[in-house]
Amino acid sequence: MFNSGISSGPVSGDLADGLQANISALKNRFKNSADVIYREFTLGFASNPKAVLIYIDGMINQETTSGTILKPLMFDFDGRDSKRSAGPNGAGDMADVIANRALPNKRVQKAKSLKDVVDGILCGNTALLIDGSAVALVIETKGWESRNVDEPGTESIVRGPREGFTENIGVNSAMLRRKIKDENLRIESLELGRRTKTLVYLAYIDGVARREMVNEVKRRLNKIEIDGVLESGYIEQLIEDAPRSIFPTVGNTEKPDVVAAKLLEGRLAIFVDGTPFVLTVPHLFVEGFQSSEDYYSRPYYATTVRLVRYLAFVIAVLLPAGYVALQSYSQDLLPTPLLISMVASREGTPFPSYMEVLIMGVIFEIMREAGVRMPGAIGQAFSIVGALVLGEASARAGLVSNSMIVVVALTAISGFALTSLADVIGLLRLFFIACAAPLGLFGILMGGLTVLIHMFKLYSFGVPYLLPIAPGNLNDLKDVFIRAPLGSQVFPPRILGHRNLARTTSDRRPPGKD
Amino acid sequence: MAAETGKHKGRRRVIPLLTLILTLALSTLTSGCWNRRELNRIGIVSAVGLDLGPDHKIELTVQIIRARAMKMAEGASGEGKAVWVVSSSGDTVFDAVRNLVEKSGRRLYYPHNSLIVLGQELAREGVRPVMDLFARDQEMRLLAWVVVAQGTAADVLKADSELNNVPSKQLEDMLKNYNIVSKSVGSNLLEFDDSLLSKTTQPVLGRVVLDKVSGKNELRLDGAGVFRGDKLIGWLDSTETRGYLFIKDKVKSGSVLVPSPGNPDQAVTLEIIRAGSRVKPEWLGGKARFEIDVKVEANLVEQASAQKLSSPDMISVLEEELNQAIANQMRTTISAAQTHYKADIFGFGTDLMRAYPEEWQGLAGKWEAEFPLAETQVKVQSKITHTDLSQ
Repeated sequence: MFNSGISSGPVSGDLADGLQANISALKNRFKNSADVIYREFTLGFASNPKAVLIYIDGMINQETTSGTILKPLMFDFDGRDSKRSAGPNGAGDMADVIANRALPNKRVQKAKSLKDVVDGILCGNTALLIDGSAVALVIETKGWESRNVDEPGTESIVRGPREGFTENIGVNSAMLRRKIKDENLRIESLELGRRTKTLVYLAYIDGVARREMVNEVKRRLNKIEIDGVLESGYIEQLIEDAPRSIFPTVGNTEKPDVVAAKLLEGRLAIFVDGTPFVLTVPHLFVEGFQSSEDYYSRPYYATTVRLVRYLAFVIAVLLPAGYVALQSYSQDLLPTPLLISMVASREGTPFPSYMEVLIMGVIFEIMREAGVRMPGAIGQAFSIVGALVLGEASARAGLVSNSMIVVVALTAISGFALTSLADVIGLLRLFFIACAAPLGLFGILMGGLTVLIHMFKLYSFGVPYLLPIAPGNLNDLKDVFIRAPLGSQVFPPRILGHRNLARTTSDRRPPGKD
Repeated sequence: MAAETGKHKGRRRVIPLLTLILTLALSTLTSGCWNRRELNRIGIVSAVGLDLGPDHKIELTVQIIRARAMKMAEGASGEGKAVWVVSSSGDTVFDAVRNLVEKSGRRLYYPHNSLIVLGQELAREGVRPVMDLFARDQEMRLLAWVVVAQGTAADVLKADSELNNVPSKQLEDMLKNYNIVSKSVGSNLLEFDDSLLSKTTQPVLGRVVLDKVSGKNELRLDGAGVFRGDKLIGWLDSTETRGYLFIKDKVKSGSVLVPSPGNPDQAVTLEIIRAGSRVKPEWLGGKARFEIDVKVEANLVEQASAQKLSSPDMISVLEEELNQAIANQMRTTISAAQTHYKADIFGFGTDLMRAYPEEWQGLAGKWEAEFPLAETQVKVQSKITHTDLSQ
């Protein structure tokens, strides 16, 4: 499956010599498909045989088809060599001549079976059938409307490249090539999905990514048996190590610079046609806390921001649960003035605190979901209502306490600070609330241990999920809680890459201080 | 057939997951858990007062924080008091605590109690029976302040506070900062229990006095109560308390008045900046002797006369006067303790035991008789470092 080009399945009937026979065979295949166009014409040379171009409307570039196929074949090409080649195979060799001399397209393939022709047409290529020839030419004419390279919507940054991947896999792989101009950058292709026949690229740097890992990823990709791949999420769920875990063991990104950085660390990237989200494997837990910007800004600030992200994670996961535990069980741990103000705000509210947390959490999730899905035009009305409902009004009405609103708001903001971990955070938050409601701080402790034990058990393509925290490695920890200066990150992370590849050998001493 | 078994396998995998989710959901939603207390179902006690009631019953008075009023105060109206003072009586403290629920309805919550006031009458009867619960119960905090009231504890808890909406907090602040003035003692439950249990050292507690000022009750922390065993036997006035604090090395700050050199009618005020003391016990042939070394650093902060006091000569005169003044305060306290109360409030016995463990063996039983006979020597070394801007 890993050869370039289109896969050749079982031969389901060869092409016939006669043009009409072939056309009716194809028409039989594409029953009731109004968008399949059959352009019949006469070649402008040799014995002026009849020919037909078959393509799908909208998937081809019209100018390419008319300018580089129809025009030469009807007018420009004088038919040189076509007589000489009229040997035993006759018109069969005419296809060769036309491919070699008449068509300036970037890829022209000969097809002998009906299936190859059908597959080619479905991919957006144009098939040329000539009367009296059992060989068709599949000419690359793909060209459909696609989005321009744009700033990615999910990963905003302040400093760094603003381009993001598009839905076009060719554009995407080119963006990666432009970042890594190394002959060892391998981009292998395969096709996944029985019906969607989605093009998938596997990218890695030979010699940096470990061979066993490349083989493992290939093995898992080849095992996929599915009718359709509409987004990289399908592949992610079919190759991940722990499909039942809430933790993602496959990463995704919309940014070429992030993919390039991951490849340089020895990871692999999986491009899927039709989506800007590129998968990266293996994916470790700490990657959720790393941002491409950490490496573009100077280390002190990057370290601070990274520590803030860890703090935000803890707040987003544990604050509501901790609030419930402190309010319902361990009031003695609070400073007296804080307790008094919390009592004051709790006074007169009807529900126990865990119900409050759940109610506000659900309201917030509804608002978030509505905010993502709703049309932009009603956004303003929505945000006013949302702010009123979630904010002042619910406290004024005595439904929830003021301090609860602060907790929910702080939790929500913290969750937004880590978009890539958002789904994990939401689930863990619920889990910990469920632990804290019946058991208080003890429940949180037990829940935390459960989650940790689960995380220790996880692997991503043979790499422990919590690497380099556990199993610990001092060298790799330079890029976990802190972001050490680039000069000191000489080696790519262990396991992922080869130990002896120095990433930088630059002298980090200040100039003039030898 | 293969699909069939696969389905079964899938179902078997789903069941534990469903069980887990159900367990979590049910335990969250239906648990009436054994020690869950929602904040709006408890009454937070901020202070406790203990008095002797009729028939030797124990009168328990508590200040409960009124969350409703606190909420009002956050708005504009601020009506109603922030605390509710309520009393109950019982044969024991726990009995009284439980009886309180008859009146409050809510379970009372004691971990945030920061003040225990003992009424004078109760203190004179002996406090050990009532203090036991506070040391034993896991809800009580050992860091709560303990004071003895000159009148009843109930009156102290009913007094108003102008600065804090919780009145006990004001008393708590006074106790926290007692060594800025150094005229009374602040000791917490831990320290008090410690001296209650000590065989030699007698407890001393700060005294709360209630003044009637234009119809309102004002609290004042002034002087200290002296205990022998668990019974209150008398008071130290503010000067004596200062002497006590110097010996116990608990003075942080405070003012000392000395006569102005040359103008004895007019006073010079010195502010103590730093003070430290050391007690050196000696056992000389059957007689205990204690040498108390006090080092004081002070500033000249106020003078009534127009004299120039900043010259080195004058300063040394002032230092000498300060030495005298502080030494006199300590001597007064020592003589009160030795002759009047016959109670070793300074912990001299403990000092002696540590220095002479072998000799102490014979002394341990009769230290109470030995303490009034002990000799003391007081040495004060003071230093005036600043006279501030005034010439």
